[in-house]
Amino acid sequence: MTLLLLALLQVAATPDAPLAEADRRFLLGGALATEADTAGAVAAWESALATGWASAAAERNLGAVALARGDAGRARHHLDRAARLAPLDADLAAARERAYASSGVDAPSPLGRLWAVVTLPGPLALVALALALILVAAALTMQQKRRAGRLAVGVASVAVLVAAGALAEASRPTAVVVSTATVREAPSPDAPEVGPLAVGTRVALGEAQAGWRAVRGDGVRGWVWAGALVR
Amino acid sequence: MTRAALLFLLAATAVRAQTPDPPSRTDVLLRAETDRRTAVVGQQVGLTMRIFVGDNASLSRPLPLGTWDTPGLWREAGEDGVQYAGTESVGGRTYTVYTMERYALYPTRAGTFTIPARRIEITLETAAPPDPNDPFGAFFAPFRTTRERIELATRPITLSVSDPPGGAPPGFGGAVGTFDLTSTVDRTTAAVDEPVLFQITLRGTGNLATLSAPVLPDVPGATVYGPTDERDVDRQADPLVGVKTFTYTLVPERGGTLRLPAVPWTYYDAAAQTYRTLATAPVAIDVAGSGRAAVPAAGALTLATAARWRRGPSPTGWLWAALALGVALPLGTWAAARTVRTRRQQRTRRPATADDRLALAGRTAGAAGYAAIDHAVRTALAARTGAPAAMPRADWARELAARGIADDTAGRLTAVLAAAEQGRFAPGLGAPPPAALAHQAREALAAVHR
Repeated sequence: MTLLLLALLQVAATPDAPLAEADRRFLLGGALATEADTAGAVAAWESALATGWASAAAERNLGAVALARGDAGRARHHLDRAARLAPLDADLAAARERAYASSGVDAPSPLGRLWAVVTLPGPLALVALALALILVAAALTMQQKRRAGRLAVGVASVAVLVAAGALAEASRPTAVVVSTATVREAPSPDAPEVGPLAVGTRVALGEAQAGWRAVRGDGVRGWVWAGALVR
Repeated sequence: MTRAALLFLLAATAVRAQTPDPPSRTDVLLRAETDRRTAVVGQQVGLTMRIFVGDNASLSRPLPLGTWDTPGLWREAGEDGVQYAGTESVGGRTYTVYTMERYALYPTRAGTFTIPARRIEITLETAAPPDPNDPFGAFFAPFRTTRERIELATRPITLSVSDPPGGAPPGFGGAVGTFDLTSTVDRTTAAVDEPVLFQITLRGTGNLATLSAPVLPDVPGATVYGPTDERDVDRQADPLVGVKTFTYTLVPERGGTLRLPAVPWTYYDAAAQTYRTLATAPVAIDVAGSGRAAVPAAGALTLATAARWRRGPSPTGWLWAALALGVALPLGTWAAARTVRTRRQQRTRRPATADDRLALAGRTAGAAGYAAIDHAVRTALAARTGAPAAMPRADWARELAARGIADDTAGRLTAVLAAAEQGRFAPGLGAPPPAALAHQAREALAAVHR
């Protein structure tokens, strides 16, 4: 039954668009960039990611273009995504640090990098691993193999915690501020100001209303025009 | 009153343009009324459907029957639910009136349109009048109600619609009604490439769904995106009033003062039969910075040329459910097994009662069964009296008497002990079977404990 559940999850997580289509769009982006059509390249890479497939290379290229344009917020957004997909890529880490530096935001902590490595397989694989370990622990416990059973329960518990953490991270809606945004008390330009949010700040998202978005981050809480954010 | 006279009264007392209901009954009526019979394209026409219920009757929630389309008329529903609307006299009879539905209709083109009949089904409960000769008549009256399902229908209404008159100012987009216009800008200072939000809010009685956005003139030095729009309707207001907000995003391209001129917007005021033009206030925004960052050349960038793909974000809802199930199932099974085991152990550890012992002894055949009965009775009596269990049978009679136990009960107990001894040591000489003796012992011991 567990295997059936995992197979269903696997099917549910598979994007509708074929992988070849995502790759075709990525390569088209590269060709357009070679022809100096940077705007076209950006559109091609974004459409490749819109297929539902994820790629550190596409995110990295988008981050590099944004960084070269001086759009530190968007650069940080794409390079953060790329770093989650390829946490051990040194060039990527350097580009990411440049994006953080140019937006005046502190670079990610070593603990954050370690977490990125631990959760690299992604929530689906981590949940599958946790479920498999639970099965093993249950089987050993039923066979009265006490020491091995206890060890397996411990390992399964850690796997469940890691999977839950990765899931919580994937479930939590966040966005990056891509242009200087004023946080207001209510979703209206007339509402009193709460404070500014610097470009590149990552914020937790709340409800949406009339083109505005409730946000929380960097010590402020309020409403920001949704156009200043990118998810 | 005749049917014709009732129809005449309905028509004569109506202030609004209205259609009478099919006059098949007089205790309940359904009426559809519009607040006008002629309108201009886009003008709001109020339509109210009311139910009239006679005395001694009450109404359940009406159920619409079939589909109801209003071709050529955009329809916006008013406040939902049946509302009490007071009492009204029709043809000398007093009715309780309920507003069933309210709509704002907006003609979408000129011509003659028919609002078709609306069919509903209601359940009507009518209380029988109390019998004056029955002293409990008033008390039982609520139990003598009759319940009846009735189908009602309105009469179709004809509406004549014309185009707004000629001579409309340039920029008229077809809005008809009465409107207010306000505008706001989210900041008056900005940097190059920093979005500035400009909102125009229109509030009025016209058809907001088809309302066209005010057209912003060219804004030198800025790129204009949008607008996006949001619509909200006050369904309790009569006539219906709506608010539509258009949001434009202006992105300054260079430093200096960005001037947004007044934005005009024209509508036709059908009540005053004239065109009116509203306008926003001009806005000036100070833009800091010199110019937009140049798009980098591809050669200046280090780009990845090959991609490794993996699945994008997984559906986390399912994953949470799978993880929770994966943890809860083994934990639940373990907890249930542990509970069962603990209960079993508790049951095993409980000291055996005389009943337990006698039940077991009763199922044991032969001398062993009699011995077990003897032991169970002696143990129970020892626990009750504090005397040694191995005391001779004759001494038990004295001991029990000394403890105030009735002679009859004491006699039954000593008889059980005697029968047990007989069964053990002289089998086949008339001792009752162990099951029967155990039963006698249980009853005698129960008498002791009473």
